[in-house]
Amino acid sequence: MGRQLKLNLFIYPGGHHEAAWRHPKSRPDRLLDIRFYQELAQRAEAAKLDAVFYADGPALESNVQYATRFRLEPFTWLSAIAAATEKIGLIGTASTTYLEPYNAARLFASLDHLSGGRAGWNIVTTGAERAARNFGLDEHPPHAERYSRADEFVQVVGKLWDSWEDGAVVSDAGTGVFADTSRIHPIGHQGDHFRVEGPLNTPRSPQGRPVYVQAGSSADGKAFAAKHAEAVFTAHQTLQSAQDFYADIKALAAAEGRDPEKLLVLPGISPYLGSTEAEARALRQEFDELTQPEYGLGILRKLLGVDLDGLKLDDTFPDDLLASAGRESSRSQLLLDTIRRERLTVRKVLHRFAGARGHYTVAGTPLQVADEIQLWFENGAADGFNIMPPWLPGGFEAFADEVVPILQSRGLFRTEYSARTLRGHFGLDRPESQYSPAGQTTQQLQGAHA
Amino acid sequence: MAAHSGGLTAVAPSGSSRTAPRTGAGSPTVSVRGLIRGFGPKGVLNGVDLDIAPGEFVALLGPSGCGKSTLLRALAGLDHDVKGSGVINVPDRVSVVFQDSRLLPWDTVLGNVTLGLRDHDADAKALADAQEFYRDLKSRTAAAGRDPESIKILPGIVPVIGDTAEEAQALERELDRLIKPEYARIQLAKTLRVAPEDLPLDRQLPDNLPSEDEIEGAKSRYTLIVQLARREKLTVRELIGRLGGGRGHRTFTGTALQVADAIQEWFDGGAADGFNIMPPVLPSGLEAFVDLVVPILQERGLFRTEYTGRTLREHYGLGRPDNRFAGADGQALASIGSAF
Repeated sequence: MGRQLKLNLFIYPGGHHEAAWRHPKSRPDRLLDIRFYQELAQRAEAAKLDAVFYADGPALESNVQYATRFRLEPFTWLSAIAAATEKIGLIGTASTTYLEPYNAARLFASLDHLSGGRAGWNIVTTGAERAARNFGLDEHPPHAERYSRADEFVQVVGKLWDSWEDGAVVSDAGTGVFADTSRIHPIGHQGDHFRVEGPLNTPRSPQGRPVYVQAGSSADGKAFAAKHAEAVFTAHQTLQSAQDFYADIKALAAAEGRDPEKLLVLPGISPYLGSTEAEARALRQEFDELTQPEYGLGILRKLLGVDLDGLKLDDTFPDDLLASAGRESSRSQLLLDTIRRERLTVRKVLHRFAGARGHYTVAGTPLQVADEIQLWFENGAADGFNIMPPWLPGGFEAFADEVVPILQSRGLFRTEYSARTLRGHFGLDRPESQYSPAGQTTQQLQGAHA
Repeated sequence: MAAHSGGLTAVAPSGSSRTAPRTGAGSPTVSVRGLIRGFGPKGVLNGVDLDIAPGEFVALLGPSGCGKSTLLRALAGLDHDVKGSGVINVPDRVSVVFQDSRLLPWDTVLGNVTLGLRDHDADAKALADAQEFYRDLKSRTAAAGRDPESIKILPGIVPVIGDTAEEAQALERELDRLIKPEYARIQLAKTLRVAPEDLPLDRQLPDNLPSEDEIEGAKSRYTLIVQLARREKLTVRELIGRLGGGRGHRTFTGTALQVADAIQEWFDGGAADGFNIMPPVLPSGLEAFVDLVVPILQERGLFRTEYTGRTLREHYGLGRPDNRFAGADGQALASIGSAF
């Protein structure tokens, strides 16, 4: 079998279009009903998707006045999804800035156990300034410091996951020995950011270590991903941009001494489907028209760091304004490039942004969307995608019913699961514990990758 | 009334000596004849005669070392392997309150006074302790300005259930026997802040344990464990069994009817609003409780037969709290503006 796509369902309450909840196809009445999400995950599992992904941040997001910006805590949520599914992976976001490594290690090890090896960790340093003030800080730690902490955080979590070797639980009723304590290790970590004695209070989980996922595309983020991540979530508006990113991150991983194939690049894609392209575009237009411009303007102001007061919705952006705009984050750079390239009006930018917060939206027939996916997949832009339905549940059902079968018929996507764990779906090896004899040998061979 | 020889080597201080003839009405409650006591070559009591009538209050006065405590300990049957002779008649139940350091620092005054009573009725004492805790917490809740009904007191109980009382006890012993005492003794020693070697498995806890004030951390659990061991005169091995069974929670061992009776006694007796059921083994321990005990409680009208609510607050009969911010004159997101 040739190389196949990795496809995740990225679930946002209500869907990824910020006005989705206003559309008659949506079910805003079910957004706090776990069965709604369980049914979606079951739908994704029936379509043989690799994983469901739930993003999170420890602060109320902006625009809750006009959009479904609340959050359910991801581990609570993913545990309920785990109980309703059997094969599909479960990826959740956990912040290295606002958690302790011991907490994170327990949460993921527990999720991995109770799901039978399906957990994945979307490692974020948290972008939201607002989170700082929920955790006793006056301001958000600077980018470099967050990544320095994240680097050590990930190492500590890896040590904790490894602190129980495989087979440490012997459970011998005859001798009365439950665990072989020669195979449970205090980690004794002493670093710049953390001091953690260990061991973890949870046995080593089915995957050994849940899958490491990362989603920042800044320079620090890419360096971090190249070192630690096994899957990268990323946002690209064009094939070219995605190809550049793909080549870059794979080269960085190779430079870290890693197999580039063990770092999957998964851009986001938000598909609008119709029986004709015109019908699909009209559908997208329906959603965009429901957007409240007030909030989008605030986001634009923040991302670009410029005053937009003189602009009308149907004006294009003046060049001098674009020249003075900030380009600190990968997301603002992306936005500036798009505005300049397509000479977008303010309203169009707002619509583009409302669609999937800067991710790639595509409107077309199922065949066109499948073609686009194949194009990116076969031309060095993606190993798969995060599917970001504009609205739920219909936006995903259309993709599962109409696009997935095309990809399957082309041999680009599995028709049955061949594995039971997320590592299995993603084609990733199960790591040895760094404290086991085998793990120590592997470490010496591979260098210090934790 | 029991006759004994004051704990002399030849006769145990309790048990066999309790078969002595009872004295009639009007006779002294305590009667001592020709009591002689000595430690080593030193004679302490030399032919003491003493009668104490019912209700009489007697004080012994004398310089330090004259034998006051020796007489008292002889009456209480506390000294073993001492030289002496004489006849002592005392009631079946004798209690001693020791002076200063001999008081049990982990126990209440009531607990010290009733020390001798308790091994006769450990169940009653456990119930009394739970009642006292219940009263105390409810009154503190009221003192905090809350409705005492708004706090539910749910002791943990470990039900060990058998078709007969003997079967239940056999099950409890079987579970206790599965515990490896080596590790548990180390844990117990840590909790009690003593060396593991100071806890011989077949002896009771040593007398000279630290006081609760010296314990950092789980003070109430320390006190509970020590009280449990003292009250029921448990050996370290037995104590480990109890703690392994419920980590210090109350074990109810018996038939389903006996367990249901015990639950009702605590519930009706102001000791509990309900219980945390802590099955000793899963799932069989839960199944036994659910299949055998719950129906009895339902039959007696003590437990629901159907859910009437859908939320935990409804199950517990707790109101849904008002939102402190709703309608209040405070800051709201709408007034913060564009930041949100």
